[in-house]
Amino acid sequence: MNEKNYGIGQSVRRVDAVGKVTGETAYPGDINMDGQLWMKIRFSDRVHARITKIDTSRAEAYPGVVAVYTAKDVPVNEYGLIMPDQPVLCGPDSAKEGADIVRCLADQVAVVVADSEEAAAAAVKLIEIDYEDLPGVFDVFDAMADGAPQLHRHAENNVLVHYRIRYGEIDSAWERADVIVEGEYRTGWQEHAYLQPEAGLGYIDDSGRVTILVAGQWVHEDREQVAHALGLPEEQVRIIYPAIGGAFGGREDMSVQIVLALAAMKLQRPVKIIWSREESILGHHKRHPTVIRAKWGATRDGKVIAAEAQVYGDAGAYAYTTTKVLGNANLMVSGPYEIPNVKVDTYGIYTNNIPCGAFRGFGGPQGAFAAEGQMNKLAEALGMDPVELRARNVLREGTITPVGTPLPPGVTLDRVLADGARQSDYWQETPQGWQRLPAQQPANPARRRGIGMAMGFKNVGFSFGAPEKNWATVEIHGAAEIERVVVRQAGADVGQGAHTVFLQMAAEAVGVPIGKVQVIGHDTAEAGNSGSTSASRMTFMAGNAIKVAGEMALQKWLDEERPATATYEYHPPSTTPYDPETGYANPNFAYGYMAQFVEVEVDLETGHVDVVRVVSAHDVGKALNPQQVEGQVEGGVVQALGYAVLENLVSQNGRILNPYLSTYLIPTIWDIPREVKSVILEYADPRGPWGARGMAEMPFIPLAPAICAAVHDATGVWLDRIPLTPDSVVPRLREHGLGVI
Amino acid sequence: MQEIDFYRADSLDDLYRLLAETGGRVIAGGTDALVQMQRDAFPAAVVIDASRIADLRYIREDGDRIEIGALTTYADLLASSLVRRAAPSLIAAAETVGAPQTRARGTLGGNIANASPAGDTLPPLLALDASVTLSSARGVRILPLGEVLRGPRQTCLEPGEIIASIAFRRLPQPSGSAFIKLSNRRGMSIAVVSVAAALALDAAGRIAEGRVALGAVAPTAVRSPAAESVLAGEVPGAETFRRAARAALDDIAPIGDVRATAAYRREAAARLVVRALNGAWEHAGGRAGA
Repeated sequence: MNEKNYGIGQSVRRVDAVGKVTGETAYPGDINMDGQLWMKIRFSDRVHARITKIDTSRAEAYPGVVAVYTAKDVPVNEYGLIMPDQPVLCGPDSAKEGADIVRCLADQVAVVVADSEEAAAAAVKLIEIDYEDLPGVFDVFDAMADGAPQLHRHAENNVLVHYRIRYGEIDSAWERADVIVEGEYRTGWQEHAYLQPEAGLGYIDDSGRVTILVAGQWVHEDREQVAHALGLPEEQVRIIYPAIGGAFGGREDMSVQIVLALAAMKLQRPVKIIWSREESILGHHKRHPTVIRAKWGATRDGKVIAAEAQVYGDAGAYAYTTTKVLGNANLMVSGPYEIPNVKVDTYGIYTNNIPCGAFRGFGGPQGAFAAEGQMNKLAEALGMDPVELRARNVLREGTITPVGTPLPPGVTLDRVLADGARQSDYWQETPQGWQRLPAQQPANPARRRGIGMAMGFKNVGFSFGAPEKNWATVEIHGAAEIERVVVRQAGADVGQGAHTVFLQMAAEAVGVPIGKVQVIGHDTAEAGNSGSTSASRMTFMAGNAIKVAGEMALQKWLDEERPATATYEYHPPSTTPYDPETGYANPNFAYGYMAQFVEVEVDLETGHVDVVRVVSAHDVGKALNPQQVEGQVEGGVVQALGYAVLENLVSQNGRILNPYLSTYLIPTIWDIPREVKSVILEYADPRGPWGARGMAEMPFIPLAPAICAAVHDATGVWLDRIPLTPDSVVPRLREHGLGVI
Repeated sequence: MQEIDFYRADSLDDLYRLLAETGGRVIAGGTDALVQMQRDAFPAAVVIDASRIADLRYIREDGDRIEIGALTTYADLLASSLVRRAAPSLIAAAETVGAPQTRARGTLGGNIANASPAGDTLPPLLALDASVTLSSARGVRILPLGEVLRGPRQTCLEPGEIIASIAFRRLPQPSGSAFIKLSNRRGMSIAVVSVAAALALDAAGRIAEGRVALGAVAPTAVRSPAAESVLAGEVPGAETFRRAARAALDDIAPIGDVRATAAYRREAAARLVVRALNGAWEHAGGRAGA
């Protein structure tokens, strides 16, 4: 431990811990202002329809109602993180063409502002909306078929995006393969289920700016979208995140920001909204469900020589970040392996289902589910241990990936695999290579245990040529001695502990105890653009910005500047988009690498899959705060366990049938592994601050295929569809004669 | 949220009076009602809170008869050594209800009045052959629990009538009972299928009386006469229990919903019947069959 108690590598206690545990921390929904009004949103009642008329007169007449706004009141009336394809409010007489159509139940149609929440809630039901129903489409294959209802003009046959990878000579490669395995993999929607449902407070600040207190992931992007939709200059909009109750990608897109800004701007009064849990589940996007068809071939000596895949992702009704998410799935569906012949087609498809977008892993989990499933099946077909097969195929320093370029320097897949297998207690090294140890079986023959594994890689930072930067200012205050250090850094602390690590970074860079450091964070009036807290990027990006800004400020301090202030904007090495025909790209500037080893117990009679133990190995480059790294590993594993086993969002014709936490089941303390062992490896990333890599998404990505591999070890049955709900598992077990009464 | 008038009854007489005056709906712990209210699905405009009527909160033993006041909470049941000895199946069910907060508020009478097909205490009470005392300003009537439950969220309660207590008789020794609830997750989850069993053995070790009840597989929690007739007079054990399990399928009519398919409920119900019978047999001093 560092005696001076500054710097990185220590499990410094979270600066936000006491406030959050005692309840003193004010989240957006906890904040009130004098004279504030309340807002309630009327969501669409139809999955696909043209709104011919909206009658707000009864709502306006309701006692306490101050205003009702519809599409005609929103100046530009469009938004979207990667393309503005969604109206803020749907309805006739909009500035945006086509905004009279609702395309899903998450569409917002009108807002009521009243002097109480109760009045707003009562009045919002009195809005009368005339719909002219349009045919809906709810399945990706139906949506792609000729003659399907078309959701957007810019997407013929509803195909929002189609990526191709053409690498090597796939057709001739099959002839050389000794074994070929094929599979169809299906993954479901997933709800973020963050602790804090959406809430916000809009008002006009002392400088006359439309100001929104809200929880998000990127204050500057929120500001841009609010300003665009309302036709305001960005300087007249201010976004502040007081505290953020979890995000996981679910707060990357707009929820309440624009409508709050609209009302605050028009009324010049504070306006507040708090979504219920049901509104949260119905109102924000989900993880993309996918259907993935895969065919892989290998030679007898355990070399994968061909991989072909088609990925179909359900975007839902609007783009959100679909093009980026499926870009990742496209990259990751052939796994972190050196495969000389690869052909991938990935489609993002509009439907009238709930929109899909960012969620921890961002296309990686779907890609890995197919890729790792294929690797595990190839291992079985070859009679080879799954760790051994991977050891023979992982990408190494300088090897060319299927997009024609090598991974950035610092490739440690082989070491993560070996260190993880060794520390898992489930594998041993023999002269013949890696060997899985048999699971200890319970006495009850209805229960069978099994052991499985999977691995993966995930980019750190924005991909495919997206502009990427991070801004930090460090101020050093004092006279003879440094008394106080201020870090201005807008990177969102979504609950992962970013602010604590920013303090550690500044303390390390300047050489002071963290007690002297203060963070001024997510407020567009106080700090420059840091980009989104997403893509496991904030430690890497903010670290690189704070480190240099801190070192520059220290130099100024030594040069007698008082206060000594330095600003630095970090720009990582640039990346490039996919070539539309071949997929050639230099997609990313940094990666994290991981491997997971899982023990499960399957109840053959009831189909319940109990994940007993998980060993999660990660190359984090440098653990800046080891306790927080473990927290991310454990949290990621639990969230991925929910995705793989429990979380079953049921949607029928565009309508979510279980929008409650009583029917959409996330893991409880009783459902999580009895042990999650974090294996934290520190092989420095040459580009990372102090060698650090991003790691927040990584524990999520390989868990589902590792669980399925363990289920196969226990039962001999491959399950290629998640979540592993008991009612989907039992028929597969019975087909194999298991659990028959 | 709905606008609902709220009244609180401090005594049984107070409750009868308020029922007569308002025609409101009685709530006890309110653990189901509050959720319904939040979703605008509470089926009344007036609610009468009965939770403070101390006279309806007790657990009494009278010879081999156990009587439980309707306002007895799940937490009360779990703290009762008497119930623990006499009806481990009821304890097992109470343990699976919601979270500690729910168990501190929710009541046995409320579980019956709510009449969910998946109500956790209903299968064990049915397998204990429980009777329910209904009372009103007009008097009392005592009915078997199976006659009180009429359908999903439907009971035989008449206007002005409340559930006062639940009673059952201990089975003659050696005997045992068990309850198994299957949910899609291990805690805080509604039953996909639940099964309770009770067995009484004769001097020769045969089954003198066997009772099987199932939850979440029919419009109400149900007894299985078919399974029970298989059990009567048989030697307990794996083969007998499997036959009873197959027979039980004749007495259920599960539906598919967001929790599970109907086919799965049948598959799971059969296996849970075997497990519950094994549990009851073990509790009666026997050995569990495979």
